[in-house]
Formats: sequence, C-alpha cells, structure tokens
Amino acid sequence: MLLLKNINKSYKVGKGSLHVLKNVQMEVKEGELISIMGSSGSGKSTLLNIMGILDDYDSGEYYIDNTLIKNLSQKQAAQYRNRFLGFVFQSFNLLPFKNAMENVALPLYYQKVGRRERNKIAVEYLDKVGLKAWAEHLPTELSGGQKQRVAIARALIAQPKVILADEPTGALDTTTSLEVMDLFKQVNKEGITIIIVTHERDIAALTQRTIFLKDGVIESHDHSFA
Amino acid sequence: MFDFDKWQEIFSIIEQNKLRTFLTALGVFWGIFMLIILLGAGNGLQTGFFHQFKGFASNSLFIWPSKTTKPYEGLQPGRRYAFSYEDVQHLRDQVPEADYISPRLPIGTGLVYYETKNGAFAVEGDHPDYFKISTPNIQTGRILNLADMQERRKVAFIGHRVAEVLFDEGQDPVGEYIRYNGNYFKVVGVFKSYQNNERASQAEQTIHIPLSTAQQIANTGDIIRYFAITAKPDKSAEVVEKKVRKILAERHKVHPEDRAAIGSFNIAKLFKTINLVFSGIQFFTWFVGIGSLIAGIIGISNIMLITVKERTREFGVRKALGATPGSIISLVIQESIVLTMIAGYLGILVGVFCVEGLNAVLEAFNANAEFFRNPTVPFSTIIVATLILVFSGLIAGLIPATHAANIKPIEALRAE
Repeated sequence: MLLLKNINKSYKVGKGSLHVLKNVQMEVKEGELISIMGSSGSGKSTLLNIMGILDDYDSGEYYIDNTLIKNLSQKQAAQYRNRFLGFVFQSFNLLPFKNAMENVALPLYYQKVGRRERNKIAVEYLDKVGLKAWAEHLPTELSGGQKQRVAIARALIAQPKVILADEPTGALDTTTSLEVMDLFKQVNKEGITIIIVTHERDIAALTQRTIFLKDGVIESHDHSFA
Repeated sequence: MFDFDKWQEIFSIIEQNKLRTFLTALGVFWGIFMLIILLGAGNGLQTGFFHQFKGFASNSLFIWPSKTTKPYEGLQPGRRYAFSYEDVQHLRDQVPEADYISPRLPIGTGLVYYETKNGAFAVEGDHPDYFKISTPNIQTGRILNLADMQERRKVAFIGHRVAEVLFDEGQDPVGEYIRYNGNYFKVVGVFKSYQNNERASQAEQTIHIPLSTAQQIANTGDIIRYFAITAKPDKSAEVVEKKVRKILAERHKVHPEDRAAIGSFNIAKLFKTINLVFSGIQFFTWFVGIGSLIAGIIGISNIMLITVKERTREFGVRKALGATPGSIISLVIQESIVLTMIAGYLGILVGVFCVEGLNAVLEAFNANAEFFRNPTVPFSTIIVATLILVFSGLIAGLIPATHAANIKPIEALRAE
C-alpha cells in the first residue's frame, strides 16, 4: 500500500543542512496497523509529513497504492491527500466554528459533494464512532476523547486508503487513549491501513508492528508486540 | 463561487472579531461616505450654477457694433456705424455653422398704459428666432411668430412683472390691448423667468414686439442694434463668432484687425471655462474620496492579514483535508470583498440618505440657494462606487489570501 524507497530529506539550518531522513526504506501492506516510534529529533514527524504528502522529499521514490508521489503541484498534492489519506492529529484540529457534523463533512466539501448529501454521510460516520447524538455540538462542547473520535470520523469519511495518526493519544488520559485505540482497531478490521506515530510504548504495543526510527535511520521492524 | 459554507465561515469570522471588524470597516465606510457627500455637494453647486442659465442656449453669442479705431478704405477712425437687417441674410448664407441668427432692436424704455394703469417698461423688437435662443417660460398665451413679423402686427409678448403692474390679479392679459408711444399692442402671451434674481426681474419687465413693428415705430429704417446667434449643436460657437465678425467687418467697412470696432460676448466660451472648473472640482472630489477609500482598504487588508495569521492552524487543517491553494485564496478574497461591500454599502446608503435628505429639505422649504440647488448623486455614480468597492475588496484580500495559501500544513498542525 505504502512503499518508500531510499527516501532522503534534509533541512537547511543556517548555512549548513540537517540530514533528517537517510535512505529510508519502508513498506506498509494493505490492511496493516503499524506504529512508528522514535525519540524527538529522530525524524518521525518528517517521515509522517512525507507520507502525508504535506512535505517534499529530496531523493528516492514514494508510492501510495502504486502511484508515484513526487514533484506534485500544490493542487495535485491537495487532491491526492483528499483521495488517499486521512489525518488524525494530537491536538484534534477541529475547526472551532463548525459543529461536529460539519467538521466531519469537510473533506467531502473539497470533493464538491453537495451540502445535504455530505452532512447525511457525516452523520453516518459520527454514528460509527458513537457520536451521532453530538452532531450539532461545537468542538468546545466535546471532551478530548469525543473530539478525537470526531477527528477519526473526519479522517474516514473520504474513504481513504491510509490513515495517518500523529500522536493521536498524546493529549488524552489512559482510559480515553485505549478507547481511541479500540476505535482504530475496529476501523483497521474493515480493511483500512493505519499508521500511528507515537512515543508511548503501550500504544505501540497495541499495533501489529512497530518501526523504530533513530537519527533518520530505521533501526528495526519489531513484530514482538503483535 | 458563493456557496453557503463560505458565507457561514465569513460571518463566523466577522462575528468573532466584532469590534475589530467594525473599526476596520469604518475606514471604508467613511471613505465612500465622503465620496458620496462630496459628489452630491459638487453636483449641487453645478446644478445651481447652470440653473442661472436655464432657458438660455449655452452655445450662443452676442455681437454688436462699436466705434472704429482704425482707418480703413479712406474712412476715419472713431466712426460709428450700425448693423442692418440685410446683414441677416448674408450671415445665413455664409455661416452654415450658425443655427439661429436673431437680430434685436431695443427701442427704449417708456411708459406703457392699460386702461388707467401704467408703468415704465423696456420695449424690444425681436425676430421669432430669439425665443429659440432664449427659451421663455410661457405662463399664458404664445410667443411671437413669423406671421407677426411679416405682417408687422402690433402684438406684444410681455414679462410677468408687466402683467402684474398693468392687469388685475386673476385677469388674463392675453387679447387685451396695451398702449406704448401712441400705438396699441395686442398682448399675445406672458412669460416668466426661470431664475429668481436681479437679471430675471429685469427680464420680466420687458415687452417683446415683432422686429419689423419695432423698426416701423422707431422709424430707424433697416437698422438693428445687435445679433444673438447660436451655433449648430455639433459646431463650435467660436468658429461662428470668427466668421460672423469677418463678414460684418467686410460689410460695414471695418478694418479686418480692428477688434474694438465689433463687440462680442461668447457664452459658449464662458460655459467652457465654468465646465472646466466643475471638472476640476469633480476630479478633486474623486481624488480625495478614492484617497480615503484606499486608506480604508489598507486597513481591511491589515486586519485580514492578522486574521489569516490567527487562522494558520485552520488553513493548515483545510489543506491537509484536501483544500487546494485556489480554494483558500478564493475563501479569503471573498471574505475581504464581503467585509468591504458591507462597509461600503452602508457608506453609500448613509451618504445617499444624507444627500437626498438635504435635497428634500431644500425643496420642501423652497430654500434652494442661487448657487446651490438639488444636491444629488446620479445612480451611475453609485454603480461605479459599488464596482470600485468590489475591486478594492479584491485588492485588499490579495495579500492576505496569498499568505493563507502559502501556509504549510506541517507547521500549522504541529502541536503547541
């Protein structure tokens, strides 16, 4: 599903440059639920950004479902993100002036789906994450766990091939974190590939395998948690 | 373009920053408000001024004989001469640019009687064409016509004041006979002036009789006093003036370069100058108005820029979810246009209300001053102002929109 070949990425820092990803090789198969771990500065955020078509890479090749993702225009990148990927963030990133239903419907808005139609679908997805009753509520009226579930519904609504989650439980307490992970597992069972970036071992342990990243190099593919 | 989601978002943003939005929008409001007020006032001045000339052809000129100052063809300088009715035909033949050529012969001011009443009024002999040049505001009856002229009828077209003095209130002067210098004239019409000033009251104390009749009464033969001439609508009054002067100089043995020998007054020239002044005022008005509008636009642009900075995360999310740069740009620009339009439209509304209100008050109390009347703003100006607003909103939104479109989702979405 995801294939990274010899990916290199460096950032300019002052006059020199910082080599963040060094020849990263990685494959994620369809239907996998994996986690990426690494200390801060290990390059895991950069990796996630490249996988999420939020950033370019310097050399190598990156395929999503056999489509080469390279040198895209901003517009193309936006369309690929919309079609292939769903995002879940640590700080939820729901739009504060839109209610839960409208937040969930947003990706469909960018697919030019009509308002009535996309709101109907949004309610279905909210139902799926157990928040149908909260459809008309603004994000400020929801708890952290509820917000993240809304965010997951939003990531799912465009029926993406892959969901990328950046520290999805970072802002949640343990009980809520486990609930969210249960939801991920349930989604994964329906066949959607999920990649979770985390620094919590307990969370990584709930995935099928973990990729350890250190100083821009993949150290190991650990299956022991599975 | 304008779908419901965008509207909802635009209004939610405006609502979130009520005071700030209000203060910013005030700039645009004031700019367009001032523009409308200034334009209205300028129009008031212009209408007021041109009202002074209402009923008078703006492309007309007067030409009269004076004393010669140069010897010519054996004639001494200081000679007095007069124009003749014969000149008219020559002018008509040789100056095709002239529309109406009206010879005039004032025969003096004298006592005019009706039954037991009398008053001193000016009596002028006129060709019917004169009323094409100076259109009278007919109260009752008719103007003088060609038949009056050809048959030397003793008829009179009298001013309003003449009628007031000689006739009782409610009495119709038309058909009555008035007496001047031993001759009886049948009144055929009464006119009033469009204006309400010194010149107008003089005009209303005048009695017009046919030129031919005047010549007979004054016993001056073919002589006429001066010409009132208009140029054809598409011709220049200055060309007409030049040609007429040349022909009259030839016919009356005046040195071609003796400018003082023939007097002339060109209203068209005066109008040109006045028009230039009003163009200047109008230019100044737009200059000041647009200037303050630009200040308002910069204000809006600034606020939008700050709002975009505050919404970095939101734009990041949108981009991550598949928003194209184009859709973000159009969102921000539409927001800017809506803000500008609302502020500007209120400015137009209040401005037009003030101008029209002033106009209504002036009308209601009949207080239109001599040089200021009917301050209004033409609808076309409002359309232009609206277009300017849309355009300025677009300009104001341009920089903030580019900023928003360039936001990198990565930076926006990083947890604080």
